[in-house]
Amino acid sequence: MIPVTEHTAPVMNVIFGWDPVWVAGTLFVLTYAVIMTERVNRAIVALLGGMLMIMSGVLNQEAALRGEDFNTLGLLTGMMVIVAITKRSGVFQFVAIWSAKKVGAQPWGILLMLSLVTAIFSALLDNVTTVLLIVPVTLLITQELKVTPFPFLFTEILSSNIGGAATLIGDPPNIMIGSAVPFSFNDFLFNLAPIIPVILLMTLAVVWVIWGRKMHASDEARQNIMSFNERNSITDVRLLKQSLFVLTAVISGFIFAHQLHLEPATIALFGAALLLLLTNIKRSSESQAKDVHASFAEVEWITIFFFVGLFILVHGVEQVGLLERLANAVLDFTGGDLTNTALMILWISAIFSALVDNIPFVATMIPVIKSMAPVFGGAENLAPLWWSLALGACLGGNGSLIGASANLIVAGYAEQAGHPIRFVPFMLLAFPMMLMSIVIATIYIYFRFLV
Amino acid sequence: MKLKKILIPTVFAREGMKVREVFTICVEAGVPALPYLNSKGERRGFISLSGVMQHGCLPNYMVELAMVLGDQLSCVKDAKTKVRELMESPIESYVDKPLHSITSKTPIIKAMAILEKFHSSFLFVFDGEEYRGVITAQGIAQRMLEIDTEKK
Repeated sequence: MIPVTEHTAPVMNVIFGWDPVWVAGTLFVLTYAVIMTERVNRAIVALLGGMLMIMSGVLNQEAALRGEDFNTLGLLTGMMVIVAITKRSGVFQFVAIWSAKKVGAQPWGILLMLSLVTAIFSALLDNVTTVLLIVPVTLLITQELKVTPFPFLFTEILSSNIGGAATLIGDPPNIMIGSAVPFSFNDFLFNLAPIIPVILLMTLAVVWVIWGRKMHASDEARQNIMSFNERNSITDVRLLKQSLFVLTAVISGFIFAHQLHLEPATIALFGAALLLLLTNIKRSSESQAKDVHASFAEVEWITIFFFVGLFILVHGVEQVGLLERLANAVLDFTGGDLTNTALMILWISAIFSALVDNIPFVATMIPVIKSMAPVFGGAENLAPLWWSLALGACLGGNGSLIGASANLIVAGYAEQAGHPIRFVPFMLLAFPMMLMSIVIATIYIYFRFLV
Repeated sequence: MKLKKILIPTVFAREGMKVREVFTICVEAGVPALPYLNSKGERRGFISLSGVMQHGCLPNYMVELAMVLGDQLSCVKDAKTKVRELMESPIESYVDKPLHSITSKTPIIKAMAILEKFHSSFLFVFDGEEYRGVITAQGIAQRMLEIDTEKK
């Protein structure tokens, strides 16, 4: 066995004098099991699990608070507020329709453009918001072109998870990793983004072979698309300018965060507050209250409270030393070899993320990887493990319909519109394509970070 | 203002009826909706003209992107066929959840408050299990005009 560190468990007043390791471990496993069944909302389960970790005495409230990652919570909340306000301007729909018209409304061209737009939006916004903006446009366009929407929706799902892997803010696993290590926005851009176009291109090549080469639409149908007036989607030019100004400032802030000595959460929350100020400054106090309330209501509080509960749970099992044991087990399996460990993390996180929520997995893996630092000669040598975790968790979401929230959102919207996406047919196509992306990621990780 | 003066008596929409029948009743009576009874005679919700139009003709994505739609749309071509199909379809798939109802003794101002609360343009009037009819925002407006004329 390769010892990671010598763990000294803090003194705990666990209920009935039970063994803290058993109490924390049982709570952790039970909570994750209930989350996986998806029978109770994940925010409720995680919060209950987290609170029981405190009430059972594994952690006190102060220790639980230390487990909370403000950077993740603040970055998520700030970006959600910014996106909620920006999307009211109609700019995202403008870009989607404009791009469809730019390719002369040819079906394959539209599929390419919408996939590209989805990937880029997903790198900058959260994936769920991105697909919620792109899917209605897709359904309308495919209805007019009289082509089946499945290939379009399928590719958009894949593109959103692929694009989300490119940046610090693209996907929650990256936000969590970026906050824990800490890696900057630029670290993600330099280390992850270069492989994303390759994966996207390969994915689109497969889509072309399966569907693209047979896609066809009549001139009349294409003319219908060309008659769409994308300018009408811009409902508020002033809001558009304000939103784009703040969004650009926030992204520039992320890029120069290191020089500015600022954390991403501070930048995102400042951006949210600034945009709220700009959009409310000349309004009455009643109107301001309504607008601010509406903007805050669009924050995905389920995700935020899910994180709140999860961080406490993970901190609980970390405090009792369970995650160190897990790290030891992983290192035993890989023989303490960095290459083996990185590739194992990449593949396990991909398979795991295809089948269950990747957020709890990443939340657990972060302290596990951190505790491997002494074995690999310090935290500075762990980069390949972090990039493996990020790529595996983000790209793994493409493996099945339940692999990522965005996948389920697309399926739900499509079903409502009379175009259901079934679990098995989706997985039969998506899982091999996800494996292909992980093979590409394996080659990239190996040659970029391990040779 | 008495609520009875603006009450429009109608029949129920019943399980097994077609959209055509409901549309005919609503248009003839000048009401936007009818309460719905299932085969056991139990009140299970209501059918509204706007609900049928929204669920039967308009996918969500068209509503979301209403502003960008062009004047050329593929669905316009076979619109008449689709309308006939819609009229022939059973009403069950268009039943909305039960709406808050009032009694014939409810003051009109309370009825107006309930209309506002539920962003609705109509309310059903029940005295216990007995159905009295529908009141509409237009009916209230008409009564207001009548009162205004009486004063003069």
